[in-house]
Amino acid sequence: MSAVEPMKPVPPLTTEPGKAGLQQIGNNDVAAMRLPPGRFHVVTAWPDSLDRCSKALSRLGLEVPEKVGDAIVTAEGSAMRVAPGRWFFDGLDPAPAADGSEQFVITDLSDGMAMFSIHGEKATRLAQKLIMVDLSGDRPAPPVVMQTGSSHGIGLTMLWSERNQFKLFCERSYERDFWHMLQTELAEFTIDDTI
Amino acid sequence: MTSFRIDKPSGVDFEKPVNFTFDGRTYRGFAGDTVASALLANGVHLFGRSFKYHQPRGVMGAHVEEANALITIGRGAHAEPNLQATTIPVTEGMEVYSQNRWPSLKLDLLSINQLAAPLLSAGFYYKTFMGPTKRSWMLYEPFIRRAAGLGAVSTSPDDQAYEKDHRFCDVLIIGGGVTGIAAGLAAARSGLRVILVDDRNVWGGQMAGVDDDLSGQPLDQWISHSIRELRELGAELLSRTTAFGVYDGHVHGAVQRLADVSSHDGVRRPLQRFLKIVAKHSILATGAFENPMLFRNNSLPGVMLADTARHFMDRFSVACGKQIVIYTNNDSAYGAARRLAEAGLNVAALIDTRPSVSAACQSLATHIGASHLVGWQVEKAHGRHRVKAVSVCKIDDQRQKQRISSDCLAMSGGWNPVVHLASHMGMAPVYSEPMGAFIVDPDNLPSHCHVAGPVAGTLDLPSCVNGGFAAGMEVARQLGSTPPDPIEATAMHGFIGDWPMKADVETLSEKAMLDFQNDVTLGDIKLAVVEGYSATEHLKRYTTLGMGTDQGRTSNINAISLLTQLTGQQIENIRPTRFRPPFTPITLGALVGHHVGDHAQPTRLTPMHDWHAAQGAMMVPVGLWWRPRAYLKPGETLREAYIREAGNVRENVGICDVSTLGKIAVQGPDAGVFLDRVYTNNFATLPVGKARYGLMLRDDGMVLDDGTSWRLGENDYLMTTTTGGAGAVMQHLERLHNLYWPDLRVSFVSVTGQWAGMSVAGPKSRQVLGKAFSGTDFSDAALPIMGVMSIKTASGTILVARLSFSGELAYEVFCPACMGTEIWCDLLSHGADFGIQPYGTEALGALRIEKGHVAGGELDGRVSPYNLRLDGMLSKKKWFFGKPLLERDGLYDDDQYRLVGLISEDRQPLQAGAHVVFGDKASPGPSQGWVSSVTYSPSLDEEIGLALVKKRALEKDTGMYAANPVAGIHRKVRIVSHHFLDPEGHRMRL
Repeated sequence: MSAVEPMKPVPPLTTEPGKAGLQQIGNNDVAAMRLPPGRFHVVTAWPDSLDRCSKALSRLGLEVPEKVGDAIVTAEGSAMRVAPGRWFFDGLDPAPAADGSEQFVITDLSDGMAMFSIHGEKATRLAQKLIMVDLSGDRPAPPVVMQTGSSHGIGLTMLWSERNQFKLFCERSYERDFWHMLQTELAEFTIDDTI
Repeated sequence: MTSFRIDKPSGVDFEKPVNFTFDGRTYRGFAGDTVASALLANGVHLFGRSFKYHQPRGVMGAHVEEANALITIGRGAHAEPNLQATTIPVTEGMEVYSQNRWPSLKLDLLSINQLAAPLLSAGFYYKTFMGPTKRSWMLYEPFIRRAAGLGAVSTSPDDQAYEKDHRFCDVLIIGGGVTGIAAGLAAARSGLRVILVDDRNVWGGQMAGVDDDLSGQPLDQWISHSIRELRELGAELLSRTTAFGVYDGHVHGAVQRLADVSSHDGVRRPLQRFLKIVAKHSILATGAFENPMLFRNNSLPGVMLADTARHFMDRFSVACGKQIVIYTNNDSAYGAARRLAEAGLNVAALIDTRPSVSAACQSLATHIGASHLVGWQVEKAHGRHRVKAVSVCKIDDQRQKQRISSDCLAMSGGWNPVVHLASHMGMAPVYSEPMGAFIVDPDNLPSHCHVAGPVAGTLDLPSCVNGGFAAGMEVARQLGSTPPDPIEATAMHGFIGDWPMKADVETLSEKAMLDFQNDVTLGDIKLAVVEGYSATEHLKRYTTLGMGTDQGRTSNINAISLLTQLTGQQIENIRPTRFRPPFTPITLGALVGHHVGDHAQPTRLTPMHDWHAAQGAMMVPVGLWWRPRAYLKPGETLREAYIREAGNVRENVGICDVSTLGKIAVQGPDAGVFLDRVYTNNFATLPVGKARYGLMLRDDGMVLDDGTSWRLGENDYLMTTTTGGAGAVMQHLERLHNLYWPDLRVSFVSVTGQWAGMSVAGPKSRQVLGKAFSGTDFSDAALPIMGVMSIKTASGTILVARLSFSGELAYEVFCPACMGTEIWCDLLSHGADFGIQPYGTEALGALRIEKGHVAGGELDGRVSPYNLRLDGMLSKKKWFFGKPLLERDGLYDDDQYRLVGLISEDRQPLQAGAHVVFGDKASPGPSQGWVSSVTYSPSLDEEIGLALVKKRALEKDTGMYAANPVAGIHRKVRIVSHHFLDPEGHRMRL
């Protein structure tokens, strides 16, 4: 650090209203929504404990996706398999499944994630702008989950829950920046004749 | 209609006039015109001035091969320079400006450079302006730079909109000419996902508007029907889209021009869209560029490529001249001559350098009534701002000469396939003897890449169509789709016969222009070869041939041909220079998209960010994070603020937002075992409810990161890392687990965002916590140093660890992020009675330097624990990652560095990065180390720093200096212990 004359003050980022509340932008073709924080947990198991972990979660009434990339969406929330030994639970609470067996671990990230949804007829086109993953070719039908980096360089978990509906998760500290990016990416879709 | 318009149907809509300005003067064009066609129709042939000599220049090429008709559109922040007039459609009100001239296009005083041509030959930078002294170049440089260059870029912020998007397909076809269209039909009929891109705004490529037939159908009808069919089959057709580069992983970069000027209707429409296209297969159907001929004054306005003259007539109903002379060395120009004559234009002469031509060529020349001079060559074009006449002579008897009046000299030196994108993929072109040009070797392509048309070695219309279709069928076959039935196209015309005869260098004028954009002449090539630059890559760099924005599209093949004659090399053995992206210039705006200003990179905010901003804190980027640097009071400077804040921590208590620290939940039955392996000290035996400072090494024994890990449960640790090291540490842990120890039952989850963190530091910190969390015992016995406790509240669990970075009694308070601001404000409120103040990163740094704690300045990847005097943390009992290479003898010898403190003897600030030396300013001697961190110490009232100095140097009892020769600063320093304050640690043990 240098004890030099002061730099010109750097103006802080403009605060935006509705930081943690519902906030929707867009039109009938596609809209994006900023969601309030909710329950979010990470469950990790190991190759020889996957079965036990699945059973423990099932006893809670939590159905566990079979393959990496699968997701199960219910009215209460969703379960996503993001890695061979890892699941994300959004809106569902797997914590009571912890049985002290040391066969799996549960990490609470309820405060650590920012969440957004995009929905509408053109939701897939907007989602395609955000990530370099083929959403139009031969692929399993929704619900599916994928983890990738956004074109802006932010790590994303994207739950494609149904044909025109996506839920996006990123680390909480990026929330405002990602919302700004969503707004600018979405702006193109409010101009009908540029599509 | 102007006198240069022809009354014939074309791509121009004469019902829709468009007015635009060129250098302030208003001209009329029509919808469908480009700037070039509209200006030519108005009799304007002078478009710009050349790069070096400021020679008058006009349109030479039909499209992106144009080297000289470079224009600027717009003014101020929206000015876009160096656009090719041949590619930009005119729009109502468009402002167009010529470039590289002063004070005007017609009267350009810098054309005086032509008189200095002998001084500005190849390599003049290294020859002409090198004296009389060594520093003379520095005197000449500003003038040369001001005189050189093309357009000027605006320095105002560009507020226009640019979009970015991704596309995926089975096959990407690059080139929307007849070859590409045929390929698209084959692929789309097979059910594949097809994307077809072309940089023009019409489909058909060079064949657009050509009067020919294809398999019995008028060509333009075949093109329009095919495009309709492609759309019906679901293909995506992207016009005005340039595929500018090919990259690894089947990724292609493309830029689509949606508009050329901003709209004025208040709607923020994007101008350009940058597309990353991922294609399972690609087909290069990129066509070919025509080559110029070489003669004196071949760059005059009015001298253009033969197919260009034909193109302007067919596409835009523009006559490029009223007395046209065609100059060629191959058959294709005869097709252009036929088309021009059929349109009623006067083709006065056909000059052919070949000793003989086919009967068909002879017959055509007779039919159109042109004077046919076979075995003749053009010596010189005459004119000043436009060609007026042409001097020709017989090649084998140069006493036979003629002078022919002409206002348009259309030249054809053969065709040069566009192999650039294959070159991006690392494929060197191969020479095709029949074509007299370099093509892509189809046997040397990756299996997912295909070529068709000229790049594959075919030029006649039916072969291009058939080849394109076959390429599409091959893609379908490789992707497991059923290919459609093959086609066998035929065409009516097709003057493709003998191929170009290369000009004899001995008969050519040295003033013949080779590179029209960079003003490289035949004489420059000869000079370069004489001086030893005879390899193509050397020739390019020495002469600048091919280094302009045109990448040598109309100069490379002529230069190679000349090179073979000058050096005796065989052309088959010459490798053209490598082409690199972008194929044509692309704007930074397109690449950047929305990522400008505050969003040029992702930004990360702490949970308490809004509070800091509301207090008017001076915020500073720390990597991607924004952190408060200091909380300036009215009238305070930064220095005054951090001195006050740091002093308050030492006297009372301060609170600092440390949410940016990396936090990783390390969990599982083998978490302790894992941590024992990654840290140099022990963690498996750390009791629950305790924290420990740990050092993490790379495999070469150098320090990767440091931090504390807290044991929250039997199988539950919370690891903290430095703010900047969080990502690297996470990767490190995952790599070790996945590759080396997959049997360990341990998991890592980044919880950086989950926890808000605040450091409460100072002699009164215990009292503040006691008041804020009444009922909780924070005594030394209840929470000893390095102890961790959890406090359960209705909103969540709060963790408090007694850790000190400042050297004072201090606690780190971690709470769920949603509680961050609440807890922060609570602590401030309860701390008011104890003089609590927030402090920022500047004070944080001053405090830790006073204490001698290492941070980013010291942990730069080059230091070992021994350098940092942390070798006491190296366990002697266990193995840890990095230990084997840490035991190398060389890491401990006398030339190794040791962490020390510095005090500036003259009380002037030190500079981080300064070298520690023995000598004075005049003769500093070799570096003995470097200064890693500096600050003014409020506690000591001294300018201090931390430094890494060679052990050998520390053993000498002589003075040392901190030297910054770049800034001319040389400070005498005193070497002291790096623990400036309380080395025994009494203050943090209160």
